[in-house]
Amino acid sequence: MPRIPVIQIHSYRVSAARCVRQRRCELRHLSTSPIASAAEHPTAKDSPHATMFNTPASGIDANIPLAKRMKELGITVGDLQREHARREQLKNRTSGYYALSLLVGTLALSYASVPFYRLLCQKTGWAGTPIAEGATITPDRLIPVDSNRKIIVRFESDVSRSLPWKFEPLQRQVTVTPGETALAFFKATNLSNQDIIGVATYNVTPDQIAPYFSKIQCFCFEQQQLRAGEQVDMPVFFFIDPDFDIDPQMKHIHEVVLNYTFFKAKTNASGQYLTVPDAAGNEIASQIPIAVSSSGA
Amino acid sequence: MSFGGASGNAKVFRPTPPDRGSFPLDHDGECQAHMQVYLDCLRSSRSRERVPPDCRLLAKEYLSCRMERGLMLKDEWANLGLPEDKKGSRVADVPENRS
Repeated sequence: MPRIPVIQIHSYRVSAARCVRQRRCELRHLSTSPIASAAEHPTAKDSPHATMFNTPASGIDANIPLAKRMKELGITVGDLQREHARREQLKNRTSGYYALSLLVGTLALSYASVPFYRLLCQKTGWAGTPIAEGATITPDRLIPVDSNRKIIVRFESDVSRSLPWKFEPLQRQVTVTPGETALAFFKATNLSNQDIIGVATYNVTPDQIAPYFSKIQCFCFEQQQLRAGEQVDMPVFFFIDPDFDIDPQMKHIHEVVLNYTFFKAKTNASGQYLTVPDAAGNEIASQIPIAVSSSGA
Repeated sequence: MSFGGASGNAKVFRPTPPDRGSFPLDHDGECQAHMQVYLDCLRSSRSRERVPPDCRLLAKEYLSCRMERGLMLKDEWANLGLPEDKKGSRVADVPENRS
């Protein structure tokens, strides 16, 4: 293994052979003080610089003046400075690239977070998002429970004061067994002389039955337009989950009240109906009421 | 919705959307006759018992009327909890004399 002469210059190390070959040196630091002047004063054995110059390096006689050594190898101060500048530039460029990639990554993440969040909410039902994944009621839930249990479902209807409609149920009550689907009807009449869009919401009392009360299809939460003077029948197809029968907390419930309330869809100043997309991307009227509506208005 | 305000309160009511969405409105009253027959059946049974199987068959008639006229998505009767068109349906096997 040929011994590569190493020059120690103020705690720098230069691989001299490589420098000579490629005019490129390995440097860790570069001080701005002229190297030659330091080398003009050969150090005494016990000066602070002596330790550096006297550090054993393979094949180097540390007592040879530094300038002479450099001249032997053909290295100039300018070489060393250029090398340092090149390394600094490379370092800066690398950190610049890192910073740029971080910026681009953050931007991409912020753009992707909106559909990602939407997807997450839909899948997990987080933060109260209704999971609207197509038909989730499977036929095995629609088998009537084989017991004497009967629930009387009464129907009530309400209309917001700003909506000139007449809205009423067409049957007073229906008796169902848990697991049995039932059909009920409401009738709405537009008493005014304009086309009006209404939106309905519903309410089930008592509140405990709400998780078991499932609607297969109804007319709520979507805008329903009635022409002037039109009368239309609105069906509700629902059932009570069969697990209701085995829940001990529901043993005392025999009557349920299903209340539908119609509101007028919101319009802006020029009379256009406003719609706002919900978490699932469907457009709903902007004032879907969530709170319990007052009965017997 | 109340963000964190109603956590721990089990009685907050949250209306949920219907499973299959909304019925398109029957503006022309195409299935009104079926509906009327069904309602008459309900009234005649006085609702003292469960919805009698005959009335459920009339409900099935109403829904099939809707399906034919494009007012409802066509689907299997099993998915809607109604008896199939063939004999030996599920609904009829719950005995009426239990009440």
